[in-house]
Amino acid sequence: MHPTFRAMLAPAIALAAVLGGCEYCLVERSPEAEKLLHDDTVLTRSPAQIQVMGMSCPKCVSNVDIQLMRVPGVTRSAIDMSIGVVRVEFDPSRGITRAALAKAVDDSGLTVTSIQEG
Amino acid sequence: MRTMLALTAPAVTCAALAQEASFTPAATMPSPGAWVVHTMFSGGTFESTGPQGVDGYLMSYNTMVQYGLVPGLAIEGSLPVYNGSLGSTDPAKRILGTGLGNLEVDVKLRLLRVDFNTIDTLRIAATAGVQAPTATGDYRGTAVNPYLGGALTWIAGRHGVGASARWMFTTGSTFDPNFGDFTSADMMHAAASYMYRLAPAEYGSEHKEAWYASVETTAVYETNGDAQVMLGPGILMEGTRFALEMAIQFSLWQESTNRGDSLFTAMVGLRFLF
Repeated sequence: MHPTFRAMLAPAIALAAVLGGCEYCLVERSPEAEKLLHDDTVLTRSPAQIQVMGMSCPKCVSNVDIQLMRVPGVTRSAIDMSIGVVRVEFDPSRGITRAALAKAVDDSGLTVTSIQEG
Repeated sequence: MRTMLALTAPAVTCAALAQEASFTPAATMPSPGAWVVHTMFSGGTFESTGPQGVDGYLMSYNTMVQYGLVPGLAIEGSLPVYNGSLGSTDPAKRILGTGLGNLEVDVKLRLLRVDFNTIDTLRIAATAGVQAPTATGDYRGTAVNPYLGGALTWIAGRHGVGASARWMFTTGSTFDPNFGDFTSADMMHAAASYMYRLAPAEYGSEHKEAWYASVETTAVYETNGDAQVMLGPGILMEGTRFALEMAIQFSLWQESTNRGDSLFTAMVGLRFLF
């Protein structure tokens, strides 16, 4: 293999990954999760109970905290790993949608299966 | 044959989210905008295996940082600092003192994510990056070395299995902490781990710390024929935003020509998520 090609191989792949983002990431989402990610229904009653899959360890699920607290209007999140539920308190006047909460969970690397209000 | 105590520098860039064993990079990554900082301290001694082989000690303090760019994509980097005294009958091969190691920067791309239920998950990720010749002092090399790798993480209840492999295309001379010497050969690192969650047996309503026991095996193969296989236990205490780890590895088999052999590897590490 030509030395220049060798030296450029990994950086080129890395650049392609950065430019491409996660377009080729194979994420197996349930139909419910896909529906929630596109559900623009505004949540009107706090708290919301989010059912989540893939909570394999305490530190992993802290990513959910990080992402949910970045949703404008979310004031608190509490995780119950025993049943896979994240309880989210929010300001109902901020117009938070189901899709916003579902995306926060999905961005954290976990799978959302349902969101219930109140 | 002289007895030796070996605490060699971890050769593989370790990512830093749990449930991740100490020497086996996981397929996990921080979410967008989140940081993981992972510091590892290790050190040890080498035994000469040839007429010009390396013997002595080497300690390493390695800092690794990960940052989530977008969902499923993270950038990570690591920079070790070495302190060692590695002797040889060949004066040109002697290494003494403290110096920076080579900076490694790569991107990690999630290829697969399947969450089976509340706990169980399967992740596969690929990495591509480059090792830059930032080393100083006697650790200074000449090469810019790209590398490609992959990792798999499977969690099933209290059990966790990890596997990883990485191929480095060495383009010149670079310091190789696995054998305490320089190499110009391509290098493959492979690792596999099993982790068992000691506590809690079942997660409660509040997620607090978890304790894991692990057993890992790591392997190094270089295209010059040198190879190494290590095996050993570890323990990991993981909180919500930090983790503490300790692990040792014993040599199962090594084949190196005019380089150093290590008998065992030990490390302590801290991980932070913020």
